[in-house]
Amino acid sequence: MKKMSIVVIGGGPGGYVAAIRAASLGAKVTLVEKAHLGGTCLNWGCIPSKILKNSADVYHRLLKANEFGIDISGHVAVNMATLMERKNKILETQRKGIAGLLKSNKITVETGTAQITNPGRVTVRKKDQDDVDLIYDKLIIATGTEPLNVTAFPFDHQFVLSSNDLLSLDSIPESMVIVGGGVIGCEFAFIFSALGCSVTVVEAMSRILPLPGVDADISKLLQREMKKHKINVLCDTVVTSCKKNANGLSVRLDVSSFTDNPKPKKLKTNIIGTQKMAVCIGRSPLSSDLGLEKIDVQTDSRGWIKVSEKLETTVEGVYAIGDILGPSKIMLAHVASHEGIVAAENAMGSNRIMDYHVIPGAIFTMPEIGTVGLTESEAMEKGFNARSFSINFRTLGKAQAIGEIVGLAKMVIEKNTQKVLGVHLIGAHATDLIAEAALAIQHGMTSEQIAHTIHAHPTLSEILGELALKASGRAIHG
Amino acid sequence: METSNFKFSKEHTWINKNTASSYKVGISDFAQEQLGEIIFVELPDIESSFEQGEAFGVVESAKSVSELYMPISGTIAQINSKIEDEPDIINKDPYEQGWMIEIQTEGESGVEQLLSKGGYEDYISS
Repeated sequence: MKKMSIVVIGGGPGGYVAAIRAASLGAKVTLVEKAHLGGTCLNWGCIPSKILKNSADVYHRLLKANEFGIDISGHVAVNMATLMERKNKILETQRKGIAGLLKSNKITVETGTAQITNPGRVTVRKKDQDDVDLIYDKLIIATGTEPLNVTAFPFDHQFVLSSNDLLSLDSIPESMVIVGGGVIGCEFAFIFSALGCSVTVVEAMSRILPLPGVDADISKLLQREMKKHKINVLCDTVVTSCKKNANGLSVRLDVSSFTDNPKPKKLKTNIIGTQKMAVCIGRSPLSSDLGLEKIDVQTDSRGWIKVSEKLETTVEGVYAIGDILGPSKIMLAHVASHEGIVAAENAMGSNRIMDYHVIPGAIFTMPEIGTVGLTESEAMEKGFNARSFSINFRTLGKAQAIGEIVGLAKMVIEKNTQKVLGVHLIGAHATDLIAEAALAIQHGMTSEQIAHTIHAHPTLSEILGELALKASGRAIHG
Repeated sequence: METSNFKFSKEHTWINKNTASSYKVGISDFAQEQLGEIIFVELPDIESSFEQGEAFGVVESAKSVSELYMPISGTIAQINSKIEDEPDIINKDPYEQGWMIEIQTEGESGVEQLLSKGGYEDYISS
């Protein structure tokens, strides 16, 4: 029997996972990647930023080593050359790992730029070789995004930087304005501040991390931590323009017209001088040169591809996954991977619907943030009879022992059934701890069930046990 | 520091008249003892305004995080930056060096609702 021929465009966490799943179901798969395997996640996002964050954490800890009874004689300093060498080495190993997985699943990898030329045909344009034509029965588009370039102050990659540029700096700037207090902006603010840069975050809304899924108390606590880290935060503010000066840039600010704050704070100054400015206010779709119009795949006005709940585009047999679906879906690597699995299974004859109900969020600030499910206000808006309970991380012996006492854990439950609707953590290892909460919500557990589950002592996981005890009316330590 | 003219709130803040329409504010000796060693204090922006009872800041110790509540309504005229760098001053001298904010009042501020020193001492021992 002839094998189903599937072409996957894009080798990121969505594309390569879709390719592997399709191959495991018996398809003949070709994956097209124009740059490096691993996509934004491996090359320009999740992994390199965590490598930088790890170095920032190590440096930050070493500066306080004497608090832990460790005396360091000599000078502790950041070595960007070594840091970047380590980053590049890890990325290369990971890329080879993905290449190995694709090879062992007998997936053909074509390096080049994919263009849909006809229904059923993709041409791969290569640099120094002849183009390759691929015939497909089914197509999975996973082309992802790139940093959003603002016309008023476009990237010059020298003074006005994208998040990609931040991951390849050869030295730590003396000062940096970060435009955008969302996830990427906040993560970089902590990384570069910890590495010795004087950072100002400019955010248009009334709080940092102004996302519906981030609880307001989490934003408040994080903003307080930014103060402790001497990160200057300007909410209700926008950058309107910037111009080069002798020391870098002169950045013009104004009160934001986007803010949800009815009484925005007055600006203390309209101009800030800075050495560099990083613009982290969103992503743009990589869909304009794909040839989507050749087969009538519809996008919205911004270029995000429209899909059904089965991840099929407006063209039968053509699927799209990952960041190319845009902000109406959830633009996270782990979501892209799961979408890849669903799309591949559907391409091979299944009828699966992508479930977005339980998607954990992980934000690598200092401290980390882990969120899953509904905030209290989201739960009320959806008509739940909801209540929330909070506990401070500093009630835990383990948090005190490791000297990471800052943090808050919050659980939202449905009052009558005690069903857990959401958990929101800010504290040490929150990005790992949130997995337990995701499992609980995925399986409809109650706070009582979590309270009855023994959590090992002394560990940070006890925060969920203590939280559940409080939510079920049996608080011991919180 | 002579505190017999201080007024106190049930949220453990004190006020001490500074000028005709401004008061210095801090937390009581009882509060600092309950908190333990204070490791961080977050103070509001100068010129921000709050109502009586509204949270104006946060004080952190190794064992707890507590909001600070306005004992009276008014506008923040000054903050004590020294305690931002050395928060344990609040433990050592809560009534003088450990002052937190200076509130400028206008019209009704709610001063009359506060407790006298004796009234506060009865409140905390009850």
